[in-house]
Amino acid sequence: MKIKKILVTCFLALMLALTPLTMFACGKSKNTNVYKTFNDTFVRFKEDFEAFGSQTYFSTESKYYLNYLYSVNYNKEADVRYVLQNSISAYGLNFIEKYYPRLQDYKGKASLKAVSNSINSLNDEFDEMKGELRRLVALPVTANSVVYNGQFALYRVEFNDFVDEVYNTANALGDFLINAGFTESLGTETPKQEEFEIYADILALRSITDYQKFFFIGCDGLHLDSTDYNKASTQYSYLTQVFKRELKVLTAEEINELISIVEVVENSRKDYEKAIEGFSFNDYTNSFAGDMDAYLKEDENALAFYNKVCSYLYEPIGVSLLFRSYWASNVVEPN
Amino acid sequence: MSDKGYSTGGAKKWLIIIGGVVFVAVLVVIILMAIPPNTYNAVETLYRTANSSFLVSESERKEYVNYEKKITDLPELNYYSDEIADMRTLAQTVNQMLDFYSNQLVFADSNKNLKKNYKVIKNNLNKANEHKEKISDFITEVTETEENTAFTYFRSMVIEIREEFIAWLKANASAFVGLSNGCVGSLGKTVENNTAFKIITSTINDALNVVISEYDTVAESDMVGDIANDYDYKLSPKVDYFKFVVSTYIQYGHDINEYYFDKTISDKYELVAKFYDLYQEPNFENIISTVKGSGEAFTFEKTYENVIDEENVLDAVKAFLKGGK
Repeated sequence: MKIKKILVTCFLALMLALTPLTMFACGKSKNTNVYKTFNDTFVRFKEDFEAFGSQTYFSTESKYYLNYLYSVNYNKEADVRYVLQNSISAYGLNFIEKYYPRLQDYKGKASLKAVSNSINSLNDEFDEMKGELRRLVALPVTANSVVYNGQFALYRVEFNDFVDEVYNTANALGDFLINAGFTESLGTETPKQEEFEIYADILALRSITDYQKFFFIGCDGLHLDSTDYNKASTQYSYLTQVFKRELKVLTAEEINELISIVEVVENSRKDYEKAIEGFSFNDYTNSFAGDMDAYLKEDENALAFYNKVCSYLYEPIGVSLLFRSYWASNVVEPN
Repeated sequence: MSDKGYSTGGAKKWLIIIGGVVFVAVLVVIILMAIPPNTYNAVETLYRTANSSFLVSESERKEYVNYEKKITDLPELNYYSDEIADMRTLAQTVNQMLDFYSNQLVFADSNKNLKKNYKVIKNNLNKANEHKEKISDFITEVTETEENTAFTYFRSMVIEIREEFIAWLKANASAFVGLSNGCVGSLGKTVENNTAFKIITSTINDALNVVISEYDTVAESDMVGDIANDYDYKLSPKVDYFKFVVSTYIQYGHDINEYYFDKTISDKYELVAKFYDLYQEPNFENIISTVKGSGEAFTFEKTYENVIDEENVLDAVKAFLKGGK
C-alpha cells in the first residue's frame, strides 16, 4: 500500500513536470507548422509560372500577378483586362510575403488560429483557381471566343474567391502582428521606427482592403461600365501612389495623433463594410440600369448603403479620402 | 396518526398555489425586463416617414402647386402667397433632415443610447405622419373644390392647413431631438466625440424652433372668422435661414466628416462649444431669432452686454451661424 502511494505520487509529479514542457513543445511545433505552411505556399507560388508572372500596375510591383486574367473578343484578342483586380490581388500577396517570416521565430502567446485557418483556406482556393486556369490554358487553339470566355468566366469566379482569401490571410496576419506586440512601442513615449513601418503597412493594407471589398464584393469582381466604378478606380490609383511614398520619422505625439485618427477611420469602416455587403454595384449597374428607385423596391436600405459607400470611398469629403489626404500631408514624404 | 385537533392539509395546498402564482409572476416580470425594446421599429418608422413625408411624392408636389395657384389666384387671398411658398421650403428642408438621419441610423448599433431615445423618435414620427395625412387630405379637398366657391371657404382651409402644418413641424422638431441624441453613442466614436455633429444638429433644431415659435404668432394673428385681422407675415427670413443652415452643413457640408482630420475645423467647434456656458444660453435660439438678411449677408442683431469674452467666442459663433466663413 505504501509503495503504491509512493508510485502514484511520483507519477503525478512527473506528469506535472512534463505538462508545461509538452505545452511548450506543442506551441513551438504549432508556430513552426503555421510558418511552414506559409513558406510552402509561397515557394509553390514562386515556382508556378503558369499561374503567376511579374508586373507593375497601379504602383504595385509584384511577382504574383495572375496570368490569363482577361476575356477575349471575337478574334480571340485580349479584350477586358482585369488589371486593377490583379493589382489588388498582388498587393495582398506582397504583404503576406513580407510579413509571414515573422512567424518563424515567434514564441509569444498571441493566437495563431485565424492566421492558420486563413492560409489553409488560401491554399484550397488556389487549388480551385488553378484547376480552372489549367482548363483555360488547355483549351485547343481552335476553341472560339465563346468557349474561351465561358471557361475564363469560371477562372475569374475562382480568382474572386482566391482574392477574398488573400485578404482574409493578409488582414489576419496584420491583426496578428499587432496582437503579438510587433507594434507595441507605438503610443508610448519612445516609438520605434521599425514598428511604425509595420503599423503603416497594416494601415495601408486596411485602406486597400476597402477597395478590395468594393471591387470584389460590391462589383462581384467584374469590370463595370459605371461612374461609380470609374471614381473608385481613380481613387484606388491615387491611394496606391500615396502609400508608395517614403514614411516620415514621426514624433511620439504625431504617432498618437495618427492612432486617434485611425480609430475614427475604423469606426467609419464598420459602417462602410455593412454598406458594401448590402449593396451590389453590379446589380445596380446591370440589373437595375442605374435606377435607384427600382433597387429601393427590392431593398429599402439601398440608397442609404449606396450613399455610405460613395461618401466613404470616393466623395471628396469621404473618410477614405480625408485619411489619404492626412496620410499624404503628415505621414509620408512629399513626391 | 396523532390527532392534532386541526388539519394543515388545506393551508399547505393554498401556500403552494400562492407560491406558484408569485413565482410565475416574477418569471414574467424578469422575461419582460430582459426583452429589449425593438429599436428596429424606430429606424423602420424613420425610413417610412422619410419616404412618405409631406411633399416627397411627385403627385403631392403637383397637387401642392395646384393648391398654391388656387389660393394665390384669388385677389382676396393672394397675401398668403409668401406663406404658401415658405411651407414648401420648410417641408423640403425638414425632409432633407429626415433623409440625413435615416441614412445615419441605418448604421446605428441598437444600444442603450438609441433605446433611450427610440420612443421619442417613434412616437413623434408617427404623430408627424398623422398630421401629414390631414394636410394632404385638406389640400386635396381644396384642389377639388369649385373655383367659384366663396373665398371665405378657401381662407378657412388655409388656416386649417396651417394649423396641421405647424403641428407637423412640431412633431418633426421633437423627433429631431430624439434622432440627434440617438445618433450620439450609437454610431461609434465618429459621432460620439464629434463636437461638429452635436453643434450642427442642435443649431438646425434651434433654427426650426425659431420658425415654429414665430409661426405660432402668425397663426394667432390670423383667426378663423375674423376677416379684418392682424395677419402680418414676416417669417420668410427665418425660413430662409433654416434652409440655409441645413444646406450649408448637411447637404453640402463637410465639417462633420472633417472634424477629426482638420485641426482648424475641430478648433472652431471647440471654441463655439464654449458659448453656452460663457453666455448662459441653452442654445442658439435667442441669436437666430434676430437674424436679418439672406445668404452670406445674414446678420444677427442679438447683443450681449457684460460678458467678458477674451477668446471672441461670440464672433466665432456668428461666423459659424453664417456658414463658417
